Amino acid sequence: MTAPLLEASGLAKIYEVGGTAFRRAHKVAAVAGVDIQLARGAALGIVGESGCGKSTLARLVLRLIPATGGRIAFAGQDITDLPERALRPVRRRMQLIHQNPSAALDPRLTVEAAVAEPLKIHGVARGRALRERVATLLADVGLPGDFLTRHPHELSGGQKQRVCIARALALGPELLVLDEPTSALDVSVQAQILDFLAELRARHQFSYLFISHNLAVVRQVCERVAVMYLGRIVEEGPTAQVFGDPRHPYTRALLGSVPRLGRAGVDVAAAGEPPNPAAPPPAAPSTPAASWPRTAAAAAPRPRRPSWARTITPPPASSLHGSGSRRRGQANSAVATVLASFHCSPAPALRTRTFHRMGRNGLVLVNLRLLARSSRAAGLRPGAVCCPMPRCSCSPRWWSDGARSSP
Amino acid sequence: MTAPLLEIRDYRLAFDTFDGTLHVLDGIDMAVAPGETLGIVGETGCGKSVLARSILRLNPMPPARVVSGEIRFRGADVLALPPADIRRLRGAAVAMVFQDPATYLNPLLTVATQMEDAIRGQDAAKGGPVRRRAAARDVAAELLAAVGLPEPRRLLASYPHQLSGGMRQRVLIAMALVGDPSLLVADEPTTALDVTVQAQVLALIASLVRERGLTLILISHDLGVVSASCARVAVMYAGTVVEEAPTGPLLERPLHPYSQGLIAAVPDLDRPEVRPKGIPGSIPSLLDPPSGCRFHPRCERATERCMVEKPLLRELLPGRRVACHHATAGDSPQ
Amino acid sequence: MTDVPASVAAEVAQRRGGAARRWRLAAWLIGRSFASMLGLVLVAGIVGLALLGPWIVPYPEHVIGQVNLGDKLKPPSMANWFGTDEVGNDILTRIIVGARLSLLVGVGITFAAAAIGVPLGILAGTAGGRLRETIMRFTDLFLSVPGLVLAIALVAALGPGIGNAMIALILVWWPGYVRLSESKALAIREEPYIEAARVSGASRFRILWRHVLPNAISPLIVKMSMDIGQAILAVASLGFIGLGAKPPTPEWGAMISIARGYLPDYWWYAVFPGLFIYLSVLGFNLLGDGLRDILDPRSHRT
Repeated sequence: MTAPLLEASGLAKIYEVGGTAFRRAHKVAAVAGVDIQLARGAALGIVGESGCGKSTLARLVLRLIPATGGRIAFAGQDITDLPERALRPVRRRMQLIHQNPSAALDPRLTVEAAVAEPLKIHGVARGRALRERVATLLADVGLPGDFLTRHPHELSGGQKQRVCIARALALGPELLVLDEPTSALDVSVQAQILDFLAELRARHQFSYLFISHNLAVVRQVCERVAVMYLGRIVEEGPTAQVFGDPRHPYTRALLGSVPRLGRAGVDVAAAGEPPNPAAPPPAAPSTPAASWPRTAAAAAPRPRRPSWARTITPPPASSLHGSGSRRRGQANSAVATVLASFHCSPAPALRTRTFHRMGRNGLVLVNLRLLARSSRAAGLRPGAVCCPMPRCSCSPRWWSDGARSSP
Repeated sequence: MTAPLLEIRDYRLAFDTFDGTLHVLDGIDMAVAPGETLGIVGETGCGKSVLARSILRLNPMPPARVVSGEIRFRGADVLALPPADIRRLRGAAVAMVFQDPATYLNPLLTVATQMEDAIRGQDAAKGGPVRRRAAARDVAAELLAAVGLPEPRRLLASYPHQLSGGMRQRVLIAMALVGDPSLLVADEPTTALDVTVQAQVLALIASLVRERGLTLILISHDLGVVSASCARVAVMYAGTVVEEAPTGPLLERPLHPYSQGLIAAVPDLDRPEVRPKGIPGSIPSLLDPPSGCRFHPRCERATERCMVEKPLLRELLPGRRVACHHATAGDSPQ
Repeated sequence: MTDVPASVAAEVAQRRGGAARRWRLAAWLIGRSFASMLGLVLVAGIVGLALLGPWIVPYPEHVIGQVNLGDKLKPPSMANWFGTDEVGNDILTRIIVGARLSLLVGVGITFAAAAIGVPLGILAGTAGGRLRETIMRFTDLFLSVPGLVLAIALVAALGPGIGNAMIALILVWWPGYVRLSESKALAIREEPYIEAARVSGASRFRILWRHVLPNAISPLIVKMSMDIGQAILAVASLGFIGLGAKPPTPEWGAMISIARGYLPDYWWYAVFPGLFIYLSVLGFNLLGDGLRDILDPRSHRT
């Protein structure tokens, strides 16, 4: 096998936030040790929800922000610490397509000036040759010549995205990093752009690093996909395999949540919300470190780092009481269902401990600390059983399964 | 058949702007029965949000101007109601939930203050005694619990920025329930949310519809979202309703060329081998919309008749209405 | 501006574009607002006076100050619309000629201040780090002293005179531009199109010059328009306390300064120059408000 075009290993970006003269900054890992490889002509999808670090990863790879750890190699060359000047020739070969084409075009520049800019910067062409080159590029992306003198605000969303693509193509790149390239577009236009991207790749042998929250789009475009969660890749593999037979519970939750045409209702596969590593809600100041059950992680095809499933450190437990045996029975079965859905078969000891209760509104609440303690007592390794969605939207103490158990 | 809760007849709305008159809504006909769930889908600029706002007269006039038509809620003409009655309608009978939950909450006030204000405002609009803050707070806590937010008391004391997107949307839904409305209009309620959270919010809306007997109008650009939540769908294009049908049959066998194109453009997660197809061209200018059928410049089946004569919604099959000269009951998908 | 839903507005914008529409829109926006119209008329009037001054004055010989004691301190009449001053010169003549000086001074101070402040501000806003700290703290140093007091101190040190007054006012004025352009640049720095330029390999200078500056210019133009009025006022103030233009230079502030001694009996001597100061400041302020409407990108949509 030939060397990959892009290779990142242990890539990390840790931000320090909230530091003042009197308070130590606390560290937030936007990307916490990611390994990716992208072969020439291949397309790798990165999926995940907001705050999972996928956009940060894109910018790290392009060296738009400095990494705090790990290495990036492009076409065999280590570019992690390359100074800005030496980076320039590399920049020609890797380009970025933004999510929102309206914002990615300078409102003051005409289409011609926008597409010509990279050519001018790198001194590729000037004068008449430049004009011709720009016109060819526009024709390549399917825009007629009279667009040259227009300003971005005179174009539709799809046309603007085409201009952005023309601009990115100007320097003949080998790698395109596409950061949600169609999420700001209407679905009928999205299909046009996706088609066009596929055609481009076939024609020019580009490599795509395709970042998206839209699983269906990624499935269309990419042969391989990596699922990110809280700055880490939790599952990676061929798209058909990952989407067809997801091994990681988070992938499963993600896939289950997508509303399908012609099917009423959606699966509420995950409780709580994707945690935002940069701005933790105050309701949960000392949040349990993120993790999915380790058992599931071990089952995933390529466990990235065994250490990432950490023991939870929940706040002290308080009142725990079921209200009436009938309700407790329901709660027990609800919890068992939830645990089962996350690959945790509770040991008998676990089942007998009351680490959950019925909320006032019929929600099943789970006490994390007690759950952890019970799991240890049950002979499971610490961390084997823990909150599937850390920092559940509401309380650090209680994690609700989101579904009402019917009375 | 029962009398419709909401009835819109030949409703035309225009916006007067510097560049001329935008014909944003062009002859909308729609009826929603009590307890029904209706989805409205369409792309940017098709007028779906403007239509939703029209129900509560929320479009600023000017620049908006009603050209013709009427909107009846429980038989009363919304467009002719005096301002006091409109205020009573808003929130009490018809509630709205909007796209971006962050912008609809005041960042400087706690959730409690905002909910209490909403509750007391409803009391005042009803003309009855206005509850004290403490009493309103109890109601607020109950509503938050009803939308699945644990520890409502603690939540009430927090500020909007301390909540996540999904929690904010739940708070807004709780606020929409304050006046015990019979119709809930949700305008892209999950567009700003992540997919797992979207699933939760859709499940919540579905359970509210079920438990409280709400009538739902859900507006979305996402066919999947509408398909998951609504029994009936209206497809809008450039200010007109082009097709209206029960959800299942519409998705299986769309009759209007635009509905067919829209459905074919959605990538299917479970069938990656089916390549999504775009619709050639782009949405028309509403300043000078195409004559006849507004879709004809992008339509493969357009004939001369389509350029001249505007197709009206006609009942092609029981419960299915289509605005196309060429649609026939035997039309196949794709 | 009018509240057309964003999706609808964006749709309109994409259809009708071009420079011609922009100008028509600008004319429409100005024409719609009485205040902007008034501002435009007042500024046009002042500029007209400044341009045509020497050719339209009723008594050209009074421009440089002729002693004509027989006609001194006459009240307004058909011969002398605004009356005459203490040496018998026609006040209207001297006001018209003073317009050129006031306008030049106002425009000169503002442009010079912007020329110093804007580059520093843009640099501070985009560079960040220690450079930004240095520039901004230095700016704060100037901002922490009341402007006119600082100007008075500077003129006192440099010696009175219109040139020194201008220098003093420029030194007082530039920090405002640093502040404004820095905040604007900070916002623009985060825009995706700046990142797009970086991906294209653009140098820092190119990003500043081609992307940040043109996009930061709108609020600066508004501020400059308003500042011209303020600068006219400031120069007049310095003239009034005897630190600006020296008589017999026909400067409005200096004229009021002398006229003060003749109040209240010879009211016209102070009132008419004062009125012109007032009208020119008002005109530039109203015009600035009008420009804000035009240059605000949100108003472009409708």
